[in-house]
Amino acid sequence: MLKDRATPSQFFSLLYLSVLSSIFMYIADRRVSVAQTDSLLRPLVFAVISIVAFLPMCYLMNKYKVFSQEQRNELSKSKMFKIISVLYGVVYFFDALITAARFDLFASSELFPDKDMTFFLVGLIIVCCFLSHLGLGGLSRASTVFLMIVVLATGFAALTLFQEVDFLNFTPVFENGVTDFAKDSLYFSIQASEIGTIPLVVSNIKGNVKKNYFLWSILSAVSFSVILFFVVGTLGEFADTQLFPTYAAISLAEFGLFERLDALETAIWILCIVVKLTFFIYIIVRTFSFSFKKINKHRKLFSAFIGVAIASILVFVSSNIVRFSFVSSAAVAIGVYVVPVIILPAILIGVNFIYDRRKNYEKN
Amino acid sequence: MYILIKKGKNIFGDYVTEKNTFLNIDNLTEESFGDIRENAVENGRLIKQAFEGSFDIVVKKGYCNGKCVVFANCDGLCNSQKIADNAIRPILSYKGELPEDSPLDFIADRIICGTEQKKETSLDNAIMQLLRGTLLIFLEGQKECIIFGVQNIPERAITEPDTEVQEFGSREGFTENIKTNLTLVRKRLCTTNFKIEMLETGKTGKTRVLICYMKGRVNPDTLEEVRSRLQGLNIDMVLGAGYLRKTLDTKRKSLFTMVGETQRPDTFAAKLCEGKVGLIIDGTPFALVVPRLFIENFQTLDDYVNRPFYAAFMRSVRILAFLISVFLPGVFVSIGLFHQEMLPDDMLYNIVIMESNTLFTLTIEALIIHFIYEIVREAGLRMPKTVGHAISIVGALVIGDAAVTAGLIGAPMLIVVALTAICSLVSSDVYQPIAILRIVFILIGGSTGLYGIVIGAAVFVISLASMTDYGVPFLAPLTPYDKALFRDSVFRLSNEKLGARIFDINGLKMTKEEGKNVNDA
Repeated sequence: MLKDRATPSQFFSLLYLSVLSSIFMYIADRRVSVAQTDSLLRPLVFAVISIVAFLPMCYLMNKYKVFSQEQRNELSKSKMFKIISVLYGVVYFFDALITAARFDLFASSELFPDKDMTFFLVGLIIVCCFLSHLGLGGLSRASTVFLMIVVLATGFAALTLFQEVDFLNFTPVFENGVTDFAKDSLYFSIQASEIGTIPLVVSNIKGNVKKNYFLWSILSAVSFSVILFFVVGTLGEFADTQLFPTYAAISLAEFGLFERLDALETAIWILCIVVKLTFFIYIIVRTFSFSFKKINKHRKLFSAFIGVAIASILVFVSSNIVRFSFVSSAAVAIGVYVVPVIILPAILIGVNFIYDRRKNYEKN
Repeated sequence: MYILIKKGKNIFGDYVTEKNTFLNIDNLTEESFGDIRENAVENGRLIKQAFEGSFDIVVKKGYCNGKCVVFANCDGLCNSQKIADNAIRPILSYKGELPEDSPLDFIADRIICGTEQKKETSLDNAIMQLLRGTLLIFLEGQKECIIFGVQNIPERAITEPDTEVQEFGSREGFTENIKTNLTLVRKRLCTTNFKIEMLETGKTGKTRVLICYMKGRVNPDTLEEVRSRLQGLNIDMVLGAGYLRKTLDTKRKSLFTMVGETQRPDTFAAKLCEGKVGLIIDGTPFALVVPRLFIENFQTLDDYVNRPFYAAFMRSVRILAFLISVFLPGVFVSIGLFHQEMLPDDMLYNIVIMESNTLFTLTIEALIIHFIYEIVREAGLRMPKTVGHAISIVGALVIGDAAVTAGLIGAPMLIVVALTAICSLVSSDVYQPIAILRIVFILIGGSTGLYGIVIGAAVFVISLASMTDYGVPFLAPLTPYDKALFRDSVFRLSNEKLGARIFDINGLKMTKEEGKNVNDA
């Protein structure tokens, strides 16, 4: 169907925007020191880890074409595949929840500190539920437009920020040791849990996914390094005192008569959040409808249910700092990355292997 | 398809029905008269009976070499002089023998002179042709008749279209006559690859629709899709192009449409050459073209006459005008209410001074003035032209001066609305969605600020990007990006760089991947 068809460049634009939104929210959340020159090298580790993490999925796609249209009917009979599909859905449900919770924190602490943002967030989730029905094709194609807007806006902000950069803020590399750097880099890298969705949607992407993935990893790393360069260069040690250092850096940007551009930049970033949440809801509905025929028949209803579930849990989580801390903890973040990117593909490889052997045995 | 028949009395005082009922169009039937009778007079009587004595149906009896001949035509749709000179006089004054076998062929070939003539055996079809302005000639003892083309259907002259004015283009526009329209296109496409298919739509109106395409360029699937959608059309009458638009457009819930409309034969011909399917509809000066891309709303034929750099500049201006007309009021309201820090201090100070004298919030102000503008516009569109100046004066005075003086609206808002109104008229094809969208964005901006507008814009763009019809994405060739076609989209390269290539809709990747061969048509 054209509705769900995308080219690799469109899909990876979507993925880039999705990861970019995590990067904007990530740093302060992890309580990692930003004010170091080695922050600029973290995205390079991100690129390496992303490429390595892609290998099992790559093997899986090469050998078995998981969830391709041809195998869909056959696979849908297997209980194991249904369970794995549901697991994917559950993981990305948590991922959507984490994204919404982080955005809630960002909105209530930076955007409108004196206002209750619940209705805004609920509205955002409703919009994302609606957009998820328009299919992967529409979302991916729109992502290329959004990417251009985001690149232009970020480039413009970078230009205006350049005069604020103080090169004295760049401390010697690995000042706090390599261990801290390695740990921080790992935390940084696990923000890209979206890459786990590639085997789920690969049948809808026409073109060379592997080559585009490689390019995506490199370009993402370079662009993240540039963002961190401006954060470190403009804020210095002040960045560590900020909950959202990227936002703090952007707040310094001014252009001619216009002294505050942060609202404009934040508005652009919200595009990334919309794309990310919409994509996650699309994936959740898709994985669950693969396992349950009734859900497949009532996708709109299920999507509304997912929206209600995310919004309800979000309100429950955001109202208490302990609950919020749990949702945004390192353990949950690692789980959300490792399960869809490493564990589930590994299980799929194993199950496929057994499945194929059994099939060959029956043939012989 | 159902038509609501309201209870009560009709305009003549006759009681129609006791309660509101729906008339099913599928059940509508017309009296059938079967085949043509051998008795020519009987055929004339049946025609009179069919129209129950309508004064414009003329049935004349005469004799040709002792055989009765009946002529029937619809007065007003035919050229009476032509009927008398080319048909009646030669037949009635013929003194020779009529051959025993196929005397009608003899009459058609030897006696009457005209280019458009054919034979018909069904009286129902003959009556249908009579209503198209032809002359029916019945001969005693023959079970068929001659349909003789003597049409003289009243039509207005070919004039320049009001809705698509070109600076350098042709001054010809479509009229309400289907044949004239076809001629205007035909003279621009002197090729045998230009193909036309005719079909009738509408149960009662039986409006003729011409499906036009260029063989070898059109995608066969698109053509078949258009055919099947028109053949499946269940409608009583087709009185305008808009009646068919609903059938051809699958995205009925969207504000935008993938069915294009044009009044210009040159634009129509250019679109056919791009591999699109065109529809010329009888009785309307608007022709339809499918599929239409979003970017085409910002393109004109003048772009191909102007220098490429200027054409590119003008296309950018049109796109910018579209964006301003949709987003500017909403953005202004949101900045004024939520993000005052974005404005320079002096500008903010001036705006605050002026807005402090007004009664309403920015959101209400924006809504009020936009509604007033739409009312004035609608009045200007529907009113007699003689009172146009009065409306302009009232509009300018009331909106422009009195409203500000009275403190109903602020001067900054007035400037924003004036700019928005002008920008919305730059691309008239998208005026309707613009009018709705800007109201929506004013409400969003007034309630959630710039962030809400961005979310609304995301919905807008994703909705547009997800639109596909006839296998073509609406936002192509921007996304999905097609390098070859992009060279003539947002901007236009020079003719040297474009070379002999033309914009071909079938080159879009979504259709390419379907594996269609455009030369199969």
